[in-house]
Amino acid sequence: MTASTSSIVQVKRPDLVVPGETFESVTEIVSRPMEMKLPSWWLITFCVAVSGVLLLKSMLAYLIWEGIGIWGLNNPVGWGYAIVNFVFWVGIGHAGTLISAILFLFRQKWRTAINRFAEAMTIFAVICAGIFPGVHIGRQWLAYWLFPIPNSMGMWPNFKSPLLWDVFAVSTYFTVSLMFWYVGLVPDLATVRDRAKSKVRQMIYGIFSLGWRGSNRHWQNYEKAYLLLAALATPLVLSVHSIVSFDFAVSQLPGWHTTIFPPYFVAGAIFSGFAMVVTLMVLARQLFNLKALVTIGHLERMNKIILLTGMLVGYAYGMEFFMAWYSGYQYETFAFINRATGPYAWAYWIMVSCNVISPQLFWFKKCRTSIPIMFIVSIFVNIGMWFERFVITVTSLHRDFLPSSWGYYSPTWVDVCTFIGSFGLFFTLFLLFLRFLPVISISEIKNVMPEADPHYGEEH
Amino acid sequence: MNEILLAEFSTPGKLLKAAEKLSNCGYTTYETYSPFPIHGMDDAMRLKHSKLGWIVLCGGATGLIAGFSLQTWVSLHYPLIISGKPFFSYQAFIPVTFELMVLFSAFSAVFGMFALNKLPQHYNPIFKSDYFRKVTSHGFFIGIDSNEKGYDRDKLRDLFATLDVKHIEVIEDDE
Amino acid sequence: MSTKQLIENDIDAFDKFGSITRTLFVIGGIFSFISFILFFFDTHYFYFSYLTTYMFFLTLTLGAMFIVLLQYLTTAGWSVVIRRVPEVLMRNIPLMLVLFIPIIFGMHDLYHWTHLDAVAHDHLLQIKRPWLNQVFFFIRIILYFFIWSWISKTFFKKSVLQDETGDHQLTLDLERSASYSMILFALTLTFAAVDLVMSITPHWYSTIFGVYIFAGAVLIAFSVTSLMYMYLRRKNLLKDIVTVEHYHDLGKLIYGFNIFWSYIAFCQFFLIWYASVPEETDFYLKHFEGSWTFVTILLCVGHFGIPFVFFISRWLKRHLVYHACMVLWICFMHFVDLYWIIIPNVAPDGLDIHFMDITLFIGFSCIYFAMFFKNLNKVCLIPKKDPRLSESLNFVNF
Repeated sequence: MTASTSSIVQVKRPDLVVPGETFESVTEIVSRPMEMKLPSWWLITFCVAVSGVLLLKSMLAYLIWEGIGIWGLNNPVGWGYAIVNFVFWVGIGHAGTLISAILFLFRQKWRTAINRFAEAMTIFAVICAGIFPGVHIGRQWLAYWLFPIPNSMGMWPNFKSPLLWDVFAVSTYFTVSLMFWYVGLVPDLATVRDRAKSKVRQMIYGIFSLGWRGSNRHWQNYEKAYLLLAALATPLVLSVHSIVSFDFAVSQLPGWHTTIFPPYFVAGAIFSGFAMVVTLMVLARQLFNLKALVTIGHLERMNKIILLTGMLVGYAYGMEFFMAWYSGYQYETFAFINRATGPYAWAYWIMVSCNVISPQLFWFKKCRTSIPIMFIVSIFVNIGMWFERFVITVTSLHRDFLPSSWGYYSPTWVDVCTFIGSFGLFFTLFLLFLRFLPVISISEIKNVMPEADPHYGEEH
Repeated sequence: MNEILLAEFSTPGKLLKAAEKLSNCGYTTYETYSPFPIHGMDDAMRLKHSKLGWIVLCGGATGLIAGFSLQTWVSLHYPLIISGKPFFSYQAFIPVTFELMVLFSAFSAVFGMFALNKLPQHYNPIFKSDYFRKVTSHGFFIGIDSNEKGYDRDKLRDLFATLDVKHIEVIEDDE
Repeated sequence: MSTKQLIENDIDAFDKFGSITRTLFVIGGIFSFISFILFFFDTHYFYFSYLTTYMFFLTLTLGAMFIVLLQYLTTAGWSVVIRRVPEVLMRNIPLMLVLFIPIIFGMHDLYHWTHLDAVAHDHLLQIKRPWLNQVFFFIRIILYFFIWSWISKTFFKKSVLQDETGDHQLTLDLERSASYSMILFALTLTFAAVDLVMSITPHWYSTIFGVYIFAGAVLIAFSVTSLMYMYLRRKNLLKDIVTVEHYHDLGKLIYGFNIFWSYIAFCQFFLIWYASVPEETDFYLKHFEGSWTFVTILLCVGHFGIPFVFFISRWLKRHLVYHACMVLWICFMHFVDLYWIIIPNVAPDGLDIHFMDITLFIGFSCIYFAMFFKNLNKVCLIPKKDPRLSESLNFVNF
């Protein structure tokens, strides 16, 4: 670029929607996946995913029948796959709220192309997450004891327990995310209703769209509600993973008890969630031809956030190590040396290379904008973040304060199959979403098109 | 018998100008319809600020107080000694108090919005127009009810004609 | 707003701040002299009081650096017109280096780990010796200041250069260097917080401490930025350029970072309180000793509660008088926060406000802002040829 003489020049911002699209064509593009003939790849993947659900169901049935003994848990490792998977899935969900709420408050208009998608992911991921602690309690038929329900025994839950805070945090998170998602969906469901060719379709979408008719008096309250929900969801998303981190950090266990845990968990959650969004979005935009709305520019920005949050996670790893040494506390120091060099060093180094090293590729624009590279890196990050939770949970437990209570934890086939089954559940829900609901927020994306400005075209 | 005069405009800008014009002519209860919220329309229609914020504030305060008092009461009513902390450990109550505050606020935001908008409302005479179906895709409409003070079908037709209207339709409401 | 009319008389504020600079230097000189006399009455306390004030302005300067870096990193448009004040604030890094000299003299008073005889009998301090020793401490301090002055110089120079040349490439260059500068910034800020503040209590450790100081730094920097623009407004400068929309957004950021600070402060306290590990709780026990309890409560209510309740209102953020009051209150609370961290080490029995706390703060702030206005005198009040300027001028909140 050359030096400009005029004092006020605007640096061009990239287009959010490929130029040439109109309001009508945007509606068309987003509605197509719902109205087209059922693609065969959808049916095939759906069958695979449903078999995953069946696997999950049978594993859970087996668990309830037999008891927790069929898992690989031992003494000292009392928390294994179930907690790892729980934290992993809750973390995945955080990207959705970040995109829908935090980026909204920061006026990041590019979020409109991916927010619906990511919010759906949030809800399904939280469902998957909820299963694990739910079945970990041992006597699953007494799960309702988790809630403060008056009962004839006069018993109440222990409100000083971080596990109970989790119950409140995760269920609040699920409820609020679901409402936020639904509020966003209402105008789009009305779009589907108005395009419906069959009476049944019109009825079903009509019921859920509540009689929405785009009235400005409605929009006024609607926008206010959306803003307030975004403002509420922002501290909520911080609190949820912070409370998840409290499960570990309020203890006195070296490797768990460290003050950076809450923000570090939040950063990690966003990191893993964005990676999952990239993984799925790369596929979905290809398969449903959404490239006009989800451009390389969108993916590039997500990759930048992956790079940023990857660095934050790296900062936390570094600080933990530094403080473990600086504290001068021998158990603390040992816990971290053991992480990097002990029997679980392989897990630790998988975590570091996936989470800290692999996103460094995104420093280069070529890598940020290359579909195959971002796909691979995002998968690496997903793997790395799962291992992060594994490292935190298992390596901190497996060598207790006394060498007489040292052990080694390995999962059983039930652990592994349950985890695989949870992916089945996630993808089943996700495929249903792709087919039956607008994948991109129609009304919001129109709102950021230049034509939506009432003064559009006046200066030209 | 009521009727609704429905006028369609081709762009958000024209709809905004038409709304301004109607407000200047003294109309107050007319309604504009668009596939997305249009910036500046609230001012053009002279709408007051949404009351939703106050509803949410009340909801949040309720959640805050309910959450904290529930925990306090439970901890004193069913006392447990946990890690040597006092029964009333307000520090430990903060997470759940916060969650309940957010939960109640979110409920009041969503259901408050539905209540203010009188949703769900599956019947509306305006849905009788097939033409109106594109309001959720790319249509920009103004609807004036014949209950509106100073409603005069022909005068409004002339007014809209000066505002570059795309299409005008009269919907009869037989309720 | 027409973009033509804004130029010339308003923004080329060359030499508009001559008199205030002189006044501030004089007042600053007087109060510094008073503080210097007070130094002989209680040398030991003086250093702690000095460090508190020093940290207040260091966090302000570094927070301003963060604002500038953040703006380039995110390629923000709305905030172009409010970038010059943080840019000039971060130019005070050399001043902060000069004002570091008294701390060198006070090392023995401030930092227990400099007493080699005490270290010899302290197992923990012996372990920490590779980090906590004077030679390495000075090397680190020099390194921090080297990095900070390099960042502030690069960003300030190129931004001012753009006022003349209007070269867009400068913006793109800075956007690129903002990324790695931010990493350097994060690391230096963290370790500076550990070295200067955390090592006063050398047995204590907290992994979140760097983030805690960072949160306060950004909060104070946004607050002072807002205050400075209001001062310029009172002098009839930038009236149509920095509008209520910008104050509204600054208010939102101050609100957000205040909650962030509260979140970090709560997490640190909560985890230490719950686990009750002796090495860690020592830090907090001090703050519940005697009248320090009152300061602790003041922090909870004043730093979190009051801004949380009042600053949530959109109306208040846009009402400049109330906005100014709230921002001043937050500045005060930031000082209380640092006071609460540092001073209990020298006054463990209870709150004991010395006269020198006040004179030092006044003297320091006068000199600091005198330097600020001296630097501001030489530049335009807005980056007038920034390519995203028009975005910022025409910015409206939703």
